[in-house]
Amino acid sequence: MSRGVLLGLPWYGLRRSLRVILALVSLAAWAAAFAAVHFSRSRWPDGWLVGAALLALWLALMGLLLSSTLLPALDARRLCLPRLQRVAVRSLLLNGALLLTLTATPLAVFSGHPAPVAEILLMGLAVGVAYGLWPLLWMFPLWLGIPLLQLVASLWHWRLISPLDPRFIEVCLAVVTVAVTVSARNWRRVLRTGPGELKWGMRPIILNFHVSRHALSGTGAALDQQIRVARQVPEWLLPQAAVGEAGPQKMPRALRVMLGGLYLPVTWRSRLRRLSVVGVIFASGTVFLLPLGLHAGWRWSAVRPFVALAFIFGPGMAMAVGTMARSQHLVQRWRRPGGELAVLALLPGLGGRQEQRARLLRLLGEQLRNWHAPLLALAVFAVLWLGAHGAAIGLLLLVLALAPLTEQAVIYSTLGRRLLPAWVCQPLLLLGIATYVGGLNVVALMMMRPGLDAMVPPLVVACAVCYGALLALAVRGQHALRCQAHPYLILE
Amino acid sequence: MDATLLTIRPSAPEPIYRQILEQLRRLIAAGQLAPGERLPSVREVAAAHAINPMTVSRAYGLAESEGLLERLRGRGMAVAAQGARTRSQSERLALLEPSLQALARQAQELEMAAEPVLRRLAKLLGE
Amino acid sequence: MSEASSGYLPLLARGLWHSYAQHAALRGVDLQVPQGRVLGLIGRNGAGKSTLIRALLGLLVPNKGYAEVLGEPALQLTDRVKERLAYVPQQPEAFPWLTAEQMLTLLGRFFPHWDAPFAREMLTRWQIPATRPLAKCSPGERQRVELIRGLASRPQVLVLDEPAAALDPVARRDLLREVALRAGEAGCTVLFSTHIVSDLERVASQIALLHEGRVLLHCDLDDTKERYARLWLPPRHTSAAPVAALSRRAQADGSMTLVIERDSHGEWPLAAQLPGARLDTLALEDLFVEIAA
Repeated sequence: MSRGVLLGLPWYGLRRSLRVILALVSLAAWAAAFAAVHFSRSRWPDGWLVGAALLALWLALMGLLLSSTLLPALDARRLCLPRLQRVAVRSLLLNGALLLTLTATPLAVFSGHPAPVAEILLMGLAVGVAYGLWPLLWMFPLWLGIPLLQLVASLWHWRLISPLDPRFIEVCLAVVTVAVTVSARNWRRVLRTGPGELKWGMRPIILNFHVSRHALSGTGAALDQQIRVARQVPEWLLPQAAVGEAGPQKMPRALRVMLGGLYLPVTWRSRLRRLSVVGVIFASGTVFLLPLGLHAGWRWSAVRPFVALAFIFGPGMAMAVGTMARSQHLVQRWRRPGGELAVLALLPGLGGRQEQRARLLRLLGEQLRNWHAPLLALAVFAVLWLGAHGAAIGLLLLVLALAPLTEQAVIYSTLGRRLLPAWVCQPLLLLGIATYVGGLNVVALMMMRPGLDAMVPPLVVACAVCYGALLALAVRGQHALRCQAHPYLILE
Repeated sequence: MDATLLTIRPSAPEPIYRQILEQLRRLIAAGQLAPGERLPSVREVAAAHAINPMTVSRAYGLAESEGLLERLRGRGMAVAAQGARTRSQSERLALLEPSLQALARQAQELEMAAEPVLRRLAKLLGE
Repeated sequence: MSEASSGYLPLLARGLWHSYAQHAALRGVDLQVPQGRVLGLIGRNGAGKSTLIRALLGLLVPNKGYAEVLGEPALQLTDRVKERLAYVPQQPEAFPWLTAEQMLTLLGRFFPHWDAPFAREMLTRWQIPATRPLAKCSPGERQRVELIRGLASRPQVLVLDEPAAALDPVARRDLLREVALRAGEAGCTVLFSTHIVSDLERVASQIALLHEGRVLLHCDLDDTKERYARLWLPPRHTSAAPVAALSRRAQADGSMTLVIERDSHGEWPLAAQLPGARLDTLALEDLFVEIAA
């Protein structure tokens, strides 16, 4: 087996577009890490630690991708090719070792703290691989476990060991040992059982990731996989539609039922289930805050920044996730020749060409408002209540408005069948996400300490660029939609 | 008559309407269908064999024009009164003509002399 | 049927061209389906059957050409036509979040001639779990649900794309029977595409053979069996092969097989009478293979 195959195995499966994004992310992570280390020499003594943490996160992402060598190993197992199976393992180890050395060496030399840097990076990589091989259903206890651990830790007034402490290596070794053991066990378990027999919840995260990555494209074999996944999800996890009186007399409701996804009106039981998921996320967030509050002795001034953080990022992330979910759902629906689109296009009672279009746009717009308006209001009022000043509120509004604007642009360009080609869409998406996350961060920072107004103008410029692009996209799509025979034409 | 008495082979090179017509001719010529006997309706035949009703009515129509069947007012089709009786032997032999031709061709392809074939045929008919 | 007297063709395509990326799926397709006929559209996988159907129904905008359903432009159908039209796609995946019952109830409210008892009866007959989400049903079950949806709206134009692919023999026979009887009695016009020729031979009244984006042959099913034949010419006579053959293939031994057609007087070309020439009648499947292979 040539060295090229050994090195390339984890990356073959990545789409080209994903590789480009990965390269960009890597570049950004490295630049930021080395910048932070550089500043640690002059103004920011902890900078090297931040740099190391950043690259450890990046390595964790790489480790997650490396764990995809499980797929060729599975194929090899199915085809009874033990040699190929060994190649998969060797490729994983080789790539991991290479990544680690190539990252750790320059950073260790540059930062002047070789041992702790290497330890942090090793932890990152090991945890990344373990995460990729972790069964999907066990992810939830994992997520809940972290804040709980922290709660226990702070209750006992046990503080995390500084990486400079000589005992840090023990912590590191413990974490790596656990991660490696877990990875090896899961790897062997999956190979023994075979992916077909594995229940949905017991499939490693990387396998599910692989499926959903295909699902985005919504064509060919990916569809079969998607259907297979849907069949594996336990029935109680599927939303229960509340069809009720939906029909020609209750057209908006009927359209919502037919569009599905987040548009689908669901029964009370389903709604409760959805709410309980949000509740769990919220609860884990509070558990995070609790030890900090305890630590600070419940002084409002100490807790306030965290409350602000929660009220900025909570609604902000909910808006972003909603936008993503609905946009993706819509694009997928409009790509499938055998799906709802054909039914909708030939359904009587939806009216003529203009009425049909107006009805659909009105419904999608309504849904967009219903989702975004309360969240936006919540964020703004909370920030106002917490005593933010004009610039912070202005910036918050400007940044948060990106989410509904994106959704509207996607709606127009999907229905008008004028989607952007990937090479335009991806940089734009990256800029948008960077602006969004960066903007929310800056607003949060502005709530905590004054004197950060200098960061506003570049963000406003970035926002303006995004606004311009989205507006152009929306207008283009809207125009195309107006010239189109009906809004239910397949995206090709 | 029951609709399932007909055998339909959709993949045969012979069109289905011809298959029905041939079978009607044979059944009537041989007296298996007596004059005046009611035929299953077009719908019954079509439903029993999952075939197009138009094919069935085409076969019935041709059989009617040949004088094999007659249309009862509002009650479908029946075997024509003179259908079976007037069939001469030569007419019945004509029905066998396609099969005999096929047999002759196959025998030629096998380079068989006429004698053994005829002997075998005679034996089959004698049984 | 009033539609028949008004002189509209239920389905009409004129000069349809369509291509995906670099691949031309339709290359000038003309097709007409008269009222009450069952047209079987045959072609190999990738011959453009699904694209043709989508273009016929206005689900996609062809690069060139024009299609009509019951006299209305396919891309701008009004409710008058939509109420009478049913289409079942090849790989039905609509509404995975609904149960079969919910889907049929919801869609039934939009169709004025909806036959709810029929839908209920077929659900039981075809053993479909009515209260399970469609996402949880097998492809065969989903296809059956879609067929029930299509039939229960009592359409006058029924378009089925590879309807029998995922059906078991019993359900398949049921479907064919339903299609045949509706066409024969209710005057329903049916277009159905398939690459399983034996399905067609039962119910189709006409066939159209689509090959590489073109209609190579379109005529009555009974005619195809009587009008076309395979001619085998021994090596010494290959120069006498008729020019107007649908397909011609030289064999390794120098002989030649051709698919020939009767002329306007119902006679075979003269080459068929050459000494040593052999004429075979063709079943539909043979004809399909001879032409499309």
